[in-house]
Amino acid sequence: MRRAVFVGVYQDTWSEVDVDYCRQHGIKIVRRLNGGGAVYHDLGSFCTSAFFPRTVFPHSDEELYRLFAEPVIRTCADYGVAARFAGRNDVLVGQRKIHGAAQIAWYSAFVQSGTFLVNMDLAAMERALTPPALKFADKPARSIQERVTSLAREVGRELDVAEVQARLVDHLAQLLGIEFAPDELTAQERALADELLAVKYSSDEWNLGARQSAGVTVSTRTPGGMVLLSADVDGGAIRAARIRGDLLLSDGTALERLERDLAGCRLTDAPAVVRAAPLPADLQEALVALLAEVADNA
Amino acid sequence: MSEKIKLEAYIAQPPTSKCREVLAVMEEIVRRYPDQVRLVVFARGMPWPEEPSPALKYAFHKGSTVPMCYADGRFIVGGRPPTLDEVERAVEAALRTKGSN
Repeated sequence: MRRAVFVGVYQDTWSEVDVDYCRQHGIKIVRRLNGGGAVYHDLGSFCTSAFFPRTVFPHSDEELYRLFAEPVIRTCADYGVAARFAGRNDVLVGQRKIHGAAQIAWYSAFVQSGTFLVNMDLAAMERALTPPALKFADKPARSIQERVTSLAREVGRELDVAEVQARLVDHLAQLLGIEFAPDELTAQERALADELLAVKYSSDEWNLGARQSAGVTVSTRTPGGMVLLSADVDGGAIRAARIRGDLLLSDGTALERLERDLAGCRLTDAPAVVRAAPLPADLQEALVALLAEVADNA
Repeated sequence: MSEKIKLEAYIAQPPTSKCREVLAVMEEIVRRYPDQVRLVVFARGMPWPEEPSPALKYAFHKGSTVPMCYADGRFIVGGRPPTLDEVERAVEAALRTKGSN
């Protein structure tokens, strides 16, 4: 059985994945190029990626999530399962996620990706994605199996993944009014992919990253929820920053973008960077106060 | 300077699995005590993010084992990750001391 965990580009692999367990059980850990959460994959799930010039669709990014969710919902309906679009990028059955999506914009190019859970080993997923250190954090944690489902689980029998894929492709073609033509990668594309695999996607540096191991972590309450800031500061500049919390933000990537903007930024310039971020004013001020606290002690 | 209780973690670089458990527990305490606690992580062989407490500084010079955890300059546990209870008790004690000063 080929198994892997795909980690979002901004995630801390060590916090999201039981790395030791995955290594012991031959589960590969690969960081993908888009954002979002860690996903466990075996041959009972599949991913899709649509590559296109951004100008092909007049839709907003949010509308594209909804558009590309529709074939998933129709495919579920083929099996008698009522699925619905929810939140920013999820397809749910009841309250359980069956399909997740992510986007990457690269100049004028755009990639819309998704992961469809068909015959998943949800227990294996739970084991691989639960860091052991957090098991004894006695907050009201809900298991992955309570939050995630698969089409097979909803139907009550194992399904042919290839058949589900074919139905999804048909629905997508119908929805977009297009026809798909199967093709192979060219030799040049294959060579580029092999090179990328060798130098980037098979390296621990990319996949595991260096967990922030030294620095200061501070927290405060805001009207929108609790926020934690971890900063690794060196010589008056922020080497790396992580912002977490139980916040509900309409722009799900705003904090990730801010983390990137803060990396390499001088502490004295950081408040202006925070205030320029598309975040609620109370959260901005809370982060500015936390940064001041980090600076006071640096 | 901050009036918050200062938690200090001394860990290996790169962190071992025990060290990662230390970070998870200590960060959970920061989450539970917003505006009251701050965490400073010192990695062996790496520059200090800020001046360590005298007790931790002494441990550095002694070449003590990792991981080690301190709350408000007082030793909590060493050589193993602390439990949430252990750190929480240490934080509560430090808060009581601060409150009585």
